[in-house]
Amino acid sequence: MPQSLLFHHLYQYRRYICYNAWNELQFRYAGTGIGIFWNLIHPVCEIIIYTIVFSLLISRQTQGHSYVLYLTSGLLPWRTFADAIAQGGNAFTQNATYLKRLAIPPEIFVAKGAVTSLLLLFIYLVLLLPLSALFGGQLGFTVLLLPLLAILLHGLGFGMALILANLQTLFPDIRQILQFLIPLWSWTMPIFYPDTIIPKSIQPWLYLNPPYAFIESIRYIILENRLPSIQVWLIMTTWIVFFLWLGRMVNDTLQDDVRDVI
Amino acid sequence: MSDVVLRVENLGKCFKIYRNPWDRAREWISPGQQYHHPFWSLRNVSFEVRRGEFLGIMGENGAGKSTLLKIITGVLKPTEGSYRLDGKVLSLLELGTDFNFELSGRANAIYSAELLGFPPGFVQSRLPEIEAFSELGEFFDRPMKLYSSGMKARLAFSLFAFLDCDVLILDEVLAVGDIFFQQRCYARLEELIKRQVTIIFVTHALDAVQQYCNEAILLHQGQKLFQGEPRAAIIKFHQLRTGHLDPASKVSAPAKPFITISETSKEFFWATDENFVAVDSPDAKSAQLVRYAICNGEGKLSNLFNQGEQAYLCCEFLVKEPIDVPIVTVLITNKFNTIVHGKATCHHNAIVPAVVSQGSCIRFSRRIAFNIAPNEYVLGFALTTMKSSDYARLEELPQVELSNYVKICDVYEQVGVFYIKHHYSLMNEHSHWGICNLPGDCQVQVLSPETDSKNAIG
Repeated sequence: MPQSLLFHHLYQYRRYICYNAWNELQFRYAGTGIGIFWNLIHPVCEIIIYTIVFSLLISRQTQGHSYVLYLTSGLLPWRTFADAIAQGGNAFTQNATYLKRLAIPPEIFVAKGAVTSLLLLFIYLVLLLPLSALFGGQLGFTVLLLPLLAILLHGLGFGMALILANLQTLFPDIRQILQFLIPLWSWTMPIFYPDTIIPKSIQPWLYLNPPYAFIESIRYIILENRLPSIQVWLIMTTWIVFFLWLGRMVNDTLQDDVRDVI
Repeated sequence: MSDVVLRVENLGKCFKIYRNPWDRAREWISPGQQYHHPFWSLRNVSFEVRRGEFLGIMGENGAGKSTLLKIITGVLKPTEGSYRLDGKVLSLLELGTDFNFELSGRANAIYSAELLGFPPGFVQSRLPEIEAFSELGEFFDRPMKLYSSGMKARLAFSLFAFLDCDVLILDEVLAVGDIFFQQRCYARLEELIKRQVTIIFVTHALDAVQQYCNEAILLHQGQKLFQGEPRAAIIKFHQLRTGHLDPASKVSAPAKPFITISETSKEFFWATDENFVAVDSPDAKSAQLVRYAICNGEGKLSNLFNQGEQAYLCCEFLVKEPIDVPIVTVLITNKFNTIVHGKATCHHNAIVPAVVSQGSCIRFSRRIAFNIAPNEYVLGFALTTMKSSDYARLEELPQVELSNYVKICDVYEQVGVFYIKHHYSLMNEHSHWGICNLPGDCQVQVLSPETDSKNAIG
């Protein structure tokens, strides 16, 4: 196999990726009256709905945290992560016009999707921090680690999306499968429901769900000013390295086939 | 530094066609099994291009032109063979695909250049030239969503024409814009050629191929059918299109006469053998068209003429069954299938025999002045026949019933193609507007009320 140029390409096209990510954020809702604000309205509505539903179902099981803050701090990273996967997975098919004609590495479109979502998460976090104070979160210097965790989460998203983007081009069925699999995925870990309802014996197994460690770490920084433990850092590193490696391998192997199919 | 900028050797590209996308996965898990149907879009193509050359690539749709160019630009990987490129290639196939319509033309020029791998800031120094060339005026600083499609193409061409590259690939883009912009495009291309830039031109505008290219390649079903002089390549292309060339034979047989005639009279214009184009028409009923020629005034094969230029049309029929009085008709049609001109030997009152025996050859020659609008035209020939008794009283026959007396032997509607180009001068008796030039002359007289005006200008 020729030497992989994945990271070289990402560096080479960094300006293009970042510029277009920012652009996409601005114009995703182009044509609507309030444009960029739809990025906020969607999650706010979701938070309101879940808050109403869950405060009826589950009473006070969030270890004394406000459920709104508990939900928000988990839901926002999950939303942007899922978005990175969905957008990144579609990246090749959506940018087929470019890929058909330009000799640019296709992975930069996946990266663009991931960076777009990352920027969105940054915006969410900036808006979330004042809210956190309002709902009784305990903020401390650990918030400085939030950007790093956000980047790591979307690094994982990039790795996964890269695999999916390649596979989705070759097997269009995968796109349909993802459409119901991603919402289902969000229920396999405590995002909407409190983590206390999961039996203690099962809780360690949750880390097998790649994004869980990241989302949990972000959540507890906001809720309790608590840093993730060494083990959690190790788990996160493992997942990232694994998925970036796998993504790179899949991309290198399938790239020529993908180009032929597009 | 070698003079060859692009060397393509035995290039081939095979696409795997799967009936079901999951068949690909089946192939992965069971190595050695084949669930796809291979489709060779390109095979065994080899050629070289030197610096400063203008190469034309022609072919029908699906001949493999874009596959070839995509391989050269690096979008696709070849399945077999190799190519070597010394320098940077830019492809106008990419025309405007990377433009962001929310941004101004200026911003797009900057970002596109960066995406194409030019260092940031490189394009800044070229911006004034690009702006001036594109003639976009104030639109250059307006969002591109306000552009017309012609404006987009103009911006793209202007950008590409001022970026540095060793090989520039162009497609039909030059069909946009008005004639003046096109002229400036071609002038710019000539400038680039002088600076040793190689241009590869993929087009259906065959007159441009003939005028600008040094060499042309004809692709057919993924194979290189011909490489050489543009004029010959165009004729091959037309033969291919009209089904008069058997692609299997690759190099069509030289157009040899099948009857050697010792002497033709001086008055009878007949093109020399090397100026003829062979026609492959085996399924002819009674008159097989063997070869034809479109010659300029000097008797040389050509298919690009000035408005009003003198030309000769020749064709040769092999008679397969005995016929009566032969009538040969020339048919010139335009792209709307309108008959621009049709004239038979009887209109010229040409001397014709009363019968033609089987196996003889009919040679037809026509002197013609192309007093028609600049355009692309299709040339056709037809052979019809009439009983000599009817032919003698042609004048008296009722026009409406003429078809009852005429027997159509064979009609060849699409034999050749030729182009008529503009005269860039108005002071020429051959220039005119509209479909055709009508013979005549004119005079002008000005009568002013004060003086006895008898001094009109001729």
